[in-house]
Amino acid sequence: MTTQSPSIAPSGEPWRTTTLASFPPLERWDDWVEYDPSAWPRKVERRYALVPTICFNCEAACGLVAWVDKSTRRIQKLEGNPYHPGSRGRNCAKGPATLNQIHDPQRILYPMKRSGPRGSGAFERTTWDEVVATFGARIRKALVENRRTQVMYHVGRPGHDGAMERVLQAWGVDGHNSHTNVCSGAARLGYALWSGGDRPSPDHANAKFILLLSSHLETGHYFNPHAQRIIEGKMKGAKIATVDVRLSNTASMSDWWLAPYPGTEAALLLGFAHVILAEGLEDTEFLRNWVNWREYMRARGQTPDFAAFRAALVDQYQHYTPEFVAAECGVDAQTVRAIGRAIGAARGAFASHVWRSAASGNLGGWQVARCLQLLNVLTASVGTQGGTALAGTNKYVAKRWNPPPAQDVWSELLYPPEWPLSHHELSFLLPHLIADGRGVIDTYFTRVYNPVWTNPDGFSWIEMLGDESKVGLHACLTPTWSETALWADYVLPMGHATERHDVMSQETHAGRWIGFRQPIGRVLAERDGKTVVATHEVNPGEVWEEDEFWIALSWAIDPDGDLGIRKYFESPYRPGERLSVDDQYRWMFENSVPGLVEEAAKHGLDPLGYMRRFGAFAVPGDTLTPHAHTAPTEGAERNAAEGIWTKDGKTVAIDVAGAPCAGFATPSKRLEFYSPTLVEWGYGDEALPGYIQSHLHRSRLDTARGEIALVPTFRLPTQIHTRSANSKWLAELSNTNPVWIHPTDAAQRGVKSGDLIRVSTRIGHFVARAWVTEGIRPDVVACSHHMGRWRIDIGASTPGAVDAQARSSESLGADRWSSAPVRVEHHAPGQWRVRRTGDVGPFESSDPDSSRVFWSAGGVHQNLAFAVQPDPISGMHCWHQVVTVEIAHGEDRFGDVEVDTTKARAVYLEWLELARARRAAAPPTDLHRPEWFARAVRPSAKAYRKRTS
Amino acid sequence: MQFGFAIDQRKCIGCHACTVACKAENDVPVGSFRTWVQYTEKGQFPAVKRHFTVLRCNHCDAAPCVTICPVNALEKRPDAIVDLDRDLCIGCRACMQACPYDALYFAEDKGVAEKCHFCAHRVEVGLEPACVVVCPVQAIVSGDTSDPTSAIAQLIAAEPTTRRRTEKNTGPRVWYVDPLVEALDPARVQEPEAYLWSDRAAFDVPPPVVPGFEPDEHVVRTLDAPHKPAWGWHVWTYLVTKNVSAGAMMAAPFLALLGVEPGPLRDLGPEIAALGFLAVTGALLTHDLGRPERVWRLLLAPNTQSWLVRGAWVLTAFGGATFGALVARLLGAWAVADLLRWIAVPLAVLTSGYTAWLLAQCRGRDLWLERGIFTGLVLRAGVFGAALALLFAGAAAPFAGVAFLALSLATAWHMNRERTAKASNTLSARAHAMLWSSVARRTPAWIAIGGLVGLGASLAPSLPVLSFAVAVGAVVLSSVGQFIFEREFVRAGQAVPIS
Repeated sequence: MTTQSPSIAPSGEPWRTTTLASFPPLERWDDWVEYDPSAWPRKVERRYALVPTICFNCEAACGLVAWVDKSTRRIQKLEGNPYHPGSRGRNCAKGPATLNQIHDPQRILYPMKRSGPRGSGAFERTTWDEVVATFGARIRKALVENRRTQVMYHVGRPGHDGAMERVLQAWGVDGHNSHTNVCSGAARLGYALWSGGDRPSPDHANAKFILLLSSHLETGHYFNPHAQRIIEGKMKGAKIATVDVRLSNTASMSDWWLAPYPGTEAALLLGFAHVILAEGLEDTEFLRNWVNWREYMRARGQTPDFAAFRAALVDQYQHYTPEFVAAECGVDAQTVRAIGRAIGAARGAFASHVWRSAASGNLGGWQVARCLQLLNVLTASVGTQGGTALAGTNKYVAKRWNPPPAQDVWSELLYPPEWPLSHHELSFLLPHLIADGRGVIDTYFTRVYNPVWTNPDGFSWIEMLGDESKVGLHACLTPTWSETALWADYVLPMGHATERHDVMSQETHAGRWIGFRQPIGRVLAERDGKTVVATHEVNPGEVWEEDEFWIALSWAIDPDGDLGIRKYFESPYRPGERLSVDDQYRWMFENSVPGLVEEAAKHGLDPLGYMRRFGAFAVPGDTLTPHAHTAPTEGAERNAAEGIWTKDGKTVAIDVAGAPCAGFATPSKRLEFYSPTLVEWGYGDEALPGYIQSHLHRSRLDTARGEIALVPTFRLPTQIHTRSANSKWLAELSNTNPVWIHPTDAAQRGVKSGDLIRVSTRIGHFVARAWVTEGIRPDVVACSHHMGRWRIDIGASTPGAVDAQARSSESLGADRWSSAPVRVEHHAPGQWRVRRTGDVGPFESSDPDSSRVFWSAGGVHQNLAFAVQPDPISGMHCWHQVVTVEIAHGEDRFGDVEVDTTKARAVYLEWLELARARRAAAPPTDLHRPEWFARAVRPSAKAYRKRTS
Repeated sequence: MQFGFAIDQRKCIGCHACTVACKAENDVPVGSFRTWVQYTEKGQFPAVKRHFTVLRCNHCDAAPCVTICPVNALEKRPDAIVDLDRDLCIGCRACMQACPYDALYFAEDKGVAEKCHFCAHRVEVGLEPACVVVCPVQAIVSGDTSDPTSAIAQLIAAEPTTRRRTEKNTGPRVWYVDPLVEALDPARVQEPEAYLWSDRAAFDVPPPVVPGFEPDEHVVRTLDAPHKPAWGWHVWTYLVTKNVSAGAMMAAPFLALLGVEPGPLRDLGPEIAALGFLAVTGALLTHDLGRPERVWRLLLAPNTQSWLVRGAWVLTAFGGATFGALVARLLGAWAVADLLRWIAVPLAVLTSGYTAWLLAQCRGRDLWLERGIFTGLVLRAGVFGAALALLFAGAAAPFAGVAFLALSLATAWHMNRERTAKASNTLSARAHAMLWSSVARRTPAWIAIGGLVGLGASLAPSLPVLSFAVAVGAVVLSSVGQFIFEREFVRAGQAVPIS
């Protein structure tokens, strides 16, 4: 028996210490012989070619290696990539489950075009030539007519670092929309206000104390790489505390599970800060050097004296005593004190993270991230080993050649004036913003985005998507059918993780890397010496990859180059010729990834060849403390009193123990405990990290009416938002979403486990089953994400009559592994109901497993029953809901969702008014948003200024 | 080289990566698992935790699946891996009953059992099992436990470990570091109607709570994989047809005594009935196999430890003696025929009762390990024998009636004693409760009433047609009772979650 056992992986991480190897040695990846498990114990040899790519199921972009049977060319399995620095050869359940998605019998293989009314489910096959010509002409017309805010690209799962910026800026449109404000927008704002970096990058592996406000051992950013390192830290002795209203797997693995009443998390965190300050555990040197305390003291009208600042700091959080926290949050005072002390004692090695959860659930949630980062700042755990670095330090985005100029326009459908500090687009308000008359969409691309299902108020999305005067032409770019694809005009199949190119990097740990997603069939064909012009030649059916679609489309928009677009899609190596994906990545790897050329040469490869072979690269460089690097001060003036160097009125360096340091990406270059930006934009009362009472604060609930807080956001370790209905192995493990309720609350309502219950929101209700459990705090109910997927029972009662001839199948929508057939009923203007016409169950397909489906419930689509609740400052949708829970009514059926969109509109207007009221007292400005604030696909400086015509 | 797994529950985060990686590696059908993760929640808010337990084949040192496999398809390899050869497997699914860990499943499309084989196909080319490689937190450690320098040996040496269900004396080779001990013991865990994010399969019904055998308070299984019952109608029907066959030959030497008139019925009836039902029994057993065309392996490539094989020998011997008696009778060799009838009696007892020893090899089914099964089977065969005598005798056969009643009452009494017996452990008690809360609880009465009515019919000389009809009714009632009892016994034995 062979027992080769390399001790160190090229990523620098230790390999396994066993007699068996985890992976075949790289030199045998072209031809690895293993016994066929289906013939075992007959020793039938199977020859594999191993090709690395990266996973596309969550955003972590873990390494995958496709094991391709060389005789059949079928991808037989996907394992980890030992050369990937983030995932280190390991994966969560979703990595190997990619196989299901590739071989899903229901996947879309050909471009489809609507052949009946929108939403009817009637589609027919079309050609890519027709698609490219149709969209090319339409977008060209919009550009020629200078309708540069009417072309919109709306992305769910991003990745593709830098790709769409280039495409959209080449077109000159302001049309990048994201999902971020139903996701992480609030936490990003909180983090960005501190440092300019919108995401934390904790070094869990070396931490002494880990505080998690999400469930990073099962979901979140970035589950697999984080889980590896959290457990590594735990085994080295780190203590872990997890804040979550329901018992998560993460909470279960922690030393402390804290379940504060939802929306009070910021108060809890300030309680820890109070303990640290009261007991003098903070790092004064760090505060003195890196925090903008001088600005704060001056704003208070005091002289910038550090001792006075410290006193002010103590004073600021004086009343967040453990006893106050106990009363406000419902967490035991002794525990607050113990954890506060433990965080303080972990000085320098305190790792923390909030991404969604409390930040995305609550009005004022953005302050949760700010309060959490305050603990890192107090304990000097910013950019330290075992502390929490910033995304920019641990993420590397390779540049692309010849970048187009920033667009000169500003779309108020993306960034409406009521939310100037919103970290990302007000994406989930789109139907309402259009209803407000703020604009229309001429051409709309949704990519891996399912707003009808994912976003709150999905019926308003259906109303918008169904109205051709609001959305002129809609293409859904997706590998699989979804609830949104049903309302599209074109459904365009794009490749899975093994069928397209993409470069990604994520701040998974104290390191930096890039990962290369690549089409397996193409790589293999090229290994065999074949020439592949386009990836779709080797993909299944007519599945395209996005890169080639955007290149083709850009040429169709500007065939002669007269619009100045085509030149950005010409090869850097073959002037005037159409750009190929090889050209694109070759240029990036050759020119813009430090160290890659040298590392590739060591292996006798060119940089593109290296990435094709290894699939990932650890980018060298300081991954902790770029803020402490010496900054160039030529031509700058030193201001000793302020401890800064300035040039042209801008701070370019800060004085740390006499040395000019680069500092952080804020205007002051310091960590902004005090935010002048918030003051300037009219939110002066929130200038410091603080606690905002949530929209579901107990004082706002009518408990006499039975109102209770619903937490609808928690996710499962075995699902991927709305993108895993095409995985049988994930559906098999997780297939329903009962409403978790504590025995006390259940008893009050006469509810037992398994009972059918009606959960009512302000705009309607949904009908689910109850799960009575000790794993949730009293006064809260919770219902998981992912479930309640549906497909329309065509002809049952969909909007618009469908010619029976036009039907391609009896139902269409989410994949049948997870979805139930429904009738979508539209009784009267605004009156909508989804009612199931059957269960999830076995079905006929080319996969024998489809006859083995043993689960039936499939859950309920709760998001449909939620109104939009944009936070007045961050713009983030405040996910948590005030609901009533009761035993279902006689006419209720499991899975029912009933909504009145006129009520949804009224709730939007209420929240809009909240935002307007917050802006009412703001000083006038000609800016759309602070210039130092980032924006996805950032427009020109000119576009940041409002037009005064 | 002695392979084993250590599961470090200090690290396991319950992510199911191992489950899915195994499915991908080994093409495991939906609804079946070679490795799976259970969730168990213990405590009350806020002092409550969810515990994860990774379950799979334990590659036992004394593997009951290897013992029971009739055709040597299961093998304990020298490197301690318990491997299964699908080309040898006949699909009898006895291994699924023998395993106390629910580690095997039946691949219906292939007609064979499958299980974790430690990814031997990878191990033999120098690679770790797929579940080990994928684990994000390296909670699954595989390796050579006999090498003190191996990671697994060092982990087991350094940390206290627990193994599952050691009371089964199987020598399991999966060591758990810091598990929730209750989670490893199915007897201590409450089973809800559905799980926290998964339906239970329709066949996967939570077991009853039995007084005196209650699970721990506030220990709830909140996620688990389904395990389909391995044996169905073929098996309970075979128990009945086999007992009819055995009963016929048990009664054969006594027919004159029991009042059956001389003639072909008395001379050839038992043999014809026995051979007929034996043929049905054989057909059922063969038809029940996933790979019936391989049934010859039972006799030609047998594992002599398996009571399936020994049972086949018993059936063969019994069938041979019976057939011999029939042939001898037809050839006029009456003395030989009578002798063979006597020889067939102990073989008939074995034919009926060997199933008890087969069930005793089903180490995973606690109900079937209880005492009294042999006696019950043989008594019930006796009832069939007496019933045959009653029918053969027609009317005016008080001895047959008395024998029928006596055996029926003995059977009913024995069943009732089983019903009221205290189970030896929780899993047995749960299965016991399921058995006796089903319609099976009425069957002792039906059998007893059948006996009484049968006696009544045998005492009525004047209305032979009517009394024969009543006797038939009595036998039908008794037989239906037996059939239902066997059905519920087979079902209940498999209905209780054992992992």
